[in-house]
Amino acid sequence: MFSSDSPYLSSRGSVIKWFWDSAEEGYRTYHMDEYDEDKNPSGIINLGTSENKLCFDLLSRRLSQSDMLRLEPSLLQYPDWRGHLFLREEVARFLSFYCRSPAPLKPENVVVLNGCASLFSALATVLCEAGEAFLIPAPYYGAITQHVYLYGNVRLVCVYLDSEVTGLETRPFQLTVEKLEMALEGANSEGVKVKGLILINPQNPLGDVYSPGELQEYLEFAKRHELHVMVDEVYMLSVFEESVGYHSVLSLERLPDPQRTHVMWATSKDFGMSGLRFGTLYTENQDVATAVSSLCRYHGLSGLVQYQMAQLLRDRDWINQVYLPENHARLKAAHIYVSEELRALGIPFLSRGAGFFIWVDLRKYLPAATFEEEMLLWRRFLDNKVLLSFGQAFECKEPGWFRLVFSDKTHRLHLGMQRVRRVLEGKSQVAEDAPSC
Amino acid sequence: MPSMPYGQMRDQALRNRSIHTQLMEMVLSLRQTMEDHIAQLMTRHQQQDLALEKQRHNQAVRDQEAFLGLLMFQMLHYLQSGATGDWSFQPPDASMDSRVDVGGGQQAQSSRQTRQMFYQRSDFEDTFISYDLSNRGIDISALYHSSFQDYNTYQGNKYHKDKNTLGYINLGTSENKICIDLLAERVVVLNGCSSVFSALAMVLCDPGEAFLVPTPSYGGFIFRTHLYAKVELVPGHLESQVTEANAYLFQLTVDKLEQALLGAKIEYPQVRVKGPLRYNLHVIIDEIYMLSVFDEAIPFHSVLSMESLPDPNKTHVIWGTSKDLGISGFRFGTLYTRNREVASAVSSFGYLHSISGVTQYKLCHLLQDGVWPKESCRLGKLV
Repeated sequence: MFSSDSPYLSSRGSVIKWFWDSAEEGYRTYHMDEYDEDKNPSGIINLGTSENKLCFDLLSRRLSQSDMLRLEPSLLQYPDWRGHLFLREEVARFLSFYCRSPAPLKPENVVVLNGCASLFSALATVLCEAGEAFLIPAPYYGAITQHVYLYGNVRLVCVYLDSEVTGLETRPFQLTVEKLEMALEGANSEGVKVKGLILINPQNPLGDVYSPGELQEYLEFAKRHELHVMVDEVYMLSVFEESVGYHSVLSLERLPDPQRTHVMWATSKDFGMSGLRFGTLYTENQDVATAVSSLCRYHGLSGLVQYQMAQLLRDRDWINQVYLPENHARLKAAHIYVSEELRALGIPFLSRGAGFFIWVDLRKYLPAATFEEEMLLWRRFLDNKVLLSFGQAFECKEPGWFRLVFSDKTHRLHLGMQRVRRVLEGKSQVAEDAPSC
Repeated sequence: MPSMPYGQMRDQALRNRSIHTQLMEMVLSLRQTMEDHIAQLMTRHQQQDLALEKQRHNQAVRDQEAFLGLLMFQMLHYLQSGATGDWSFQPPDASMDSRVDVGGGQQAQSSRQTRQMFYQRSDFEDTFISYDLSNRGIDISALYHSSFQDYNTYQGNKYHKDKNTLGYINLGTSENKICIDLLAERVVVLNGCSSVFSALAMVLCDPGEAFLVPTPSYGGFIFRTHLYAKVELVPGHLESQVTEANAYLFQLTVDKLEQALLGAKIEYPQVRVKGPLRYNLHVIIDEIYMLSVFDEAIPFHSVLSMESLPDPNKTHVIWGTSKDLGISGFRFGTLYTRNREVASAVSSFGYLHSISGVTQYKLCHLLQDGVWPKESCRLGKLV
């Protein structure tokens, strides 16, 4: 499957190097020619990376305040790899409040480390033997494939979702228990041992939010088959449409299988600081927490970052009165702007009022419904200096879907959408027989 | 038609269920045995006269303890055997209490032995009976528990000059705590030298392969190479005697390396050893203490200062700030290598071993402010 044999590397080293060489092409191109208002106005506009660039002003002000700059010897020394207690206490309080847990969450169930990628890696390693698998509804955030594979050697079994609404479904790409059962059966019949299920809620790239009833169903399914459930709630505070009604899995009155339910969160998305590298695990299972902590020596957080995060999470007033309202307002405005542009272009899309992205249907712009055509369209966008994410990177089984990120300043969105329009209007002259939307 | 792997997996699943059933049976048997013993003790109490009974009672209590210890030990042994597939299980000898008439010393010793065996196992009890972790997850947990008990005890009860004068003082962890107020790396930057080692082990070796390491060496190497990467360490033992072969204590010579390498090939025939260069091996040089040479009479030469390297594409140098700058909590390590393939492969782990942008920025400034080499003389004053 992979091959870039090197006389210097082991076989797995060669596979690992392949990941680096091939998977990052678009982003490497982007980083060599980044758009900048003053220095590089013809550079590439990034509508592909899911980052919230709207609130740097609020964050930089808060992170520069004097309470963030304290230094103590213990912060510069080898820590408890689970994370400093003061931070885990703060995380427990924070999650209790924002996840609306029925009972206060406990610091001993918290582990902190340098990001959710590391958490996926550690969980894969401690829950699975090499070659075992997790179920994951697809389309999903594709980088998770690498996170569980690099060290853990764990594979993902996709639960493919369809854009077509059938049967009792109420929306496109809906996850149902039947689909989960089918995927599990398929894996078993191929001799693949499935150990867990990954849920992302709010979902990436769809922006879907699971209702409490749905969450309960998925968790019951997992319990029936003794599967671990890893719930990635990294976008939980990025639900900018109030009517959506988001519920964390930790808000459920009773978890069907608390010993096999593991919740992940990070500041990367909700606080727009993906470069700071801070993620947390909450689980009642002490075996899992300890085993993950043991691997945390490789995913250690700087003591300074731990201190700053504790200060940030503790500041409810700032979060509730300054940051969240402003952040949601800006996200909503950006979302409205891009949605209107898409509607004006006649492009169908899914929108759920959560996350930083819109799942866009460009199928009618493909002369043929193949991933090669999808790739060609993606390249045309890149050549026209706008970076989107193509659906195959999310294991979407239907060619033609793209993820478009809108959490950026208006002038960049404006320029990006102009370039998208240029490509599509050029393209749509080619696909004359495609049905209108 | 189910494929072979599925069949094997199904058998394993059946064995697993069998473990659970048999474990339940054993626990129930244990409970029944305990109840029988207690009933016997009570009966004996009623039947015998008082003085003799007191002696026998004490003996019976010792018997019971030893017996329970043996049962627990066998249960844990059984669980372990179940994991390896060896199913020979002997139910406890129900007539053990007949040994009450044997000389007390021997009896006491055997009960002490079973207690010892039991206590040795009890540290790993939790992880051995975890049903949630994979086998490698259990290994990781067990290694953590057994190796960090002392460290965790220390963490929970640290000395403080005002708040906890009875706490532990740590003279075991290698940290430079006297240069706290002091405060360019080459190809790849990760969050600590452990991470650099781990990533190197992943890209240079396949699971089960090995590195040669002169010993005594830092005990943590086994974690760096083993926990994630499953790479073995082959020791090259150095001697504490000055002999013809050693000009000074624990001298590392090429002969010793060759000896260790050949020894490894015999002892671990399935393992391919990666070590010094004559045998076409990679070399990893950890220079993490390079700026902590506090005795000016000792000349330190970094491998990077050498005019020419025998094989630059297989020479990889590691450094970090944990020791030389006394900031082990900062989490920063770097790899320098001229080998671009190794660098790219290690960069794949950049996401999993990432350093915060803020940390990178601060460190940049710290390293640019290059006053600190002279300050390491503070270490010299303590010796």
